[in-house]
Amino acid sequence: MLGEGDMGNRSMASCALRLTALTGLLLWGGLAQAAPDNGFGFYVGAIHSNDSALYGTSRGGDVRADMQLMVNEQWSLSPYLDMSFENTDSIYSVVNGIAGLQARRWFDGGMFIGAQYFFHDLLLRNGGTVQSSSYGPAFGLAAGWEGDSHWSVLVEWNALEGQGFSWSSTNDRSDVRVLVGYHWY
Amino acid sequence: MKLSACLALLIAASLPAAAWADESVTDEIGQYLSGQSIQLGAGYAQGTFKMSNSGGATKTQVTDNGRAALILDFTGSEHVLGRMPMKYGDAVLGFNFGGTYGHVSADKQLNPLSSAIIGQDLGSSINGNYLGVAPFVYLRLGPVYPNTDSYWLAGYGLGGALFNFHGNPIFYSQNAPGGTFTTVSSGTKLFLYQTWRWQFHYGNWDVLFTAKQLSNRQVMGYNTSYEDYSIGFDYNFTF
Repeated sequence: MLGEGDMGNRSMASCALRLTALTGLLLWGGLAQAAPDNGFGFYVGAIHSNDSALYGTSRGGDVRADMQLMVNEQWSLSPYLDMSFENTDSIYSVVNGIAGLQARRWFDGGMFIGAQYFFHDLLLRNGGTVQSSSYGPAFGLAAGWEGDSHWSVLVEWNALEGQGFSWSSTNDRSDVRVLVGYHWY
Repeated sequence: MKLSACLALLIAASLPAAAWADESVTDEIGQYLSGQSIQLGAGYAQGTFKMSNSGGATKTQVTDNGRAALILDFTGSEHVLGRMPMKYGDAVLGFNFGGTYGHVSADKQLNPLSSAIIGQDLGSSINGNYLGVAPFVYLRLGPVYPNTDSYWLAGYGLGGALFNFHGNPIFYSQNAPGGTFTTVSSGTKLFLYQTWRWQFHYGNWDVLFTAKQLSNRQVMGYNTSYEDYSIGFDYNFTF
């Protein structure tokens, strides 16, 4: 049975997801060609995850800081730190921290696809108490766009645990996140 | 092979790997790192001391629940294994020899029946010191902005650490689910030392996330280890 607080959190997460998508669409339609360059970036957005073994599904907010480093006009590398705060369908809440490196292949118009390798630590909380910590390396895929205005939209899919890479085998998490970000360069 | 592994290999193979070569490119950051340095700073860390018998039936874990911590590290000169030119600067695969000093002061007992990482004040404690040395392999990218001393670095080190400790942790087992206070003590012994580092450097300053693990040693018949995770700031004194 979900409480009012849970319903409220889920509603906020849903609202955040819609706002992120709307912002992305507005940026997509209103801005011109991209010219990505080196710089610090900051992103906010929404996340949806699934872990059939540990907590079911979750929704929440996501924040990220990265450094965009251009290899050349076609490739870039972005070390990043990410933290998500999620409410699940069960009694738990989730805080997931990530330190990763994302490689991007850029195309005309500021479009890019990418892949990331990262290390994460997932804390499962109940009533303000940490119930478990599971951590390890993992992989993911990404796609997005960055405009001349330095605003960008990023969509990611990550397979965190139970995919043959993780050091923790007790859960089976994957997530999708949509982020809107800005790079200073 | 799993799909995710295939995708990772495909992407890795499509990277401009042909550019990886130790060319004699003038690298201002590399020149800066050709010297040695001492890092002095402070951060927030959580350390956890662990002992368990060979079957894992009797064990103890004592943590500090997080604390302010000193950062005192040594970094040797950089050795370049490979270099890939970037739009600004280089991506460098390199290694150096690094050292670290750490102090252990943990007095929050972890009970296997309760929270995984938050300890309780039950009167147990562990105190000690360690000195770790390891060759450290890393990837360095930068500068972030042209003509600045700024780079990102992440890597892994594997070496040895001298560690001594003493204390009175509570050991838990099926025969003693309530726990038993036990005095433990060890003179300076050699442990396996592993370290992971994620670091951003600007000027003489670093922001860094580190994980350190001392392990692979038996003391008083128990497999003994210590783990420390931290975030901090430090200043580099180069020489």
